[in-house]
Amino acid sequence: MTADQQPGDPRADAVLKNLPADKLDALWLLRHPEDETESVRSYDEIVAMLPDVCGVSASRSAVWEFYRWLSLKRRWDQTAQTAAQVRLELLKDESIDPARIEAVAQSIFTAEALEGGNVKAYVELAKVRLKGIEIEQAGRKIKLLEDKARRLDEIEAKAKELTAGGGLSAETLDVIEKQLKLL
Amino acid sequence: MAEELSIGTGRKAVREVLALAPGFWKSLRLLRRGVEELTGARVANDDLRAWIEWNVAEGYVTHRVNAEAEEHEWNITRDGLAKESVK
Repeated sequence: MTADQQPGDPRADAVLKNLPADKLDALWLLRHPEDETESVRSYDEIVAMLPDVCGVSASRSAVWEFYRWLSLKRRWDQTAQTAAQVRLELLKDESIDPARIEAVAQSIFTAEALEGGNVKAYVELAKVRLKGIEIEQAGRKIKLLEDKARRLDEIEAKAKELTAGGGLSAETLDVIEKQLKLL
Repeated sequence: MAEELSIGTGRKAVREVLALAPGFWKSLRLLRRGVEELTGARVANDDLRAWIEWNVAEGYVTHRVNAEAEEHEWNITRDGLAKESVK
């Protein structure tokens, strides 16, 4: 807190960081002009320009810290937007579990923020992985059904064998039939 | 890179980084990368964990385990965002 600030006043750098989006963009352009003919402003120049551009004041060190923050913020905002776009694309496929889509969007944000990368490839890879999981689950279901069918056949064969040999009562046969129906 | 951060600066840097892209959680590695970029300082994992844990204890930061990535992740809370607006 500076000598001029009162308790509860925003910090100098917080004042800059809480500016609306259009002011943040304007400040960004002062250090990263899109027009090549424009010069990159120094921090001292920006300190002098702040009251006119944004209606606030800040020290040189606060401005320096602010631009480090703004650089990171712009990159991560772009990354978040990319991950959100992938989320939207995947949500179009109603067969995919929304929880899995959230997990994919999160992993894309993390990977992009850390390393950068090919988002289109992420989307395709995510779809393939999610479809692969569905195929695997379907395969397990089929195996369960096959196992059940085999047990049914075994039980039926045993029942016939016992019936042929006179070894089963009518009541026992009844129980076995009910069990087969449950299977 | 600059030298180590003070405890107060480190704790604040954690909140500032977590407040970015608040819709997404940050792993330890991503958080460390963000703090180092923000401050220009080299950050040790032990220090970073201590700053994170202090913020969690104060209610400024929340934590989860990402089962798919098998990682711990953190995000800013409303109290944490409010803390970053004023001092």
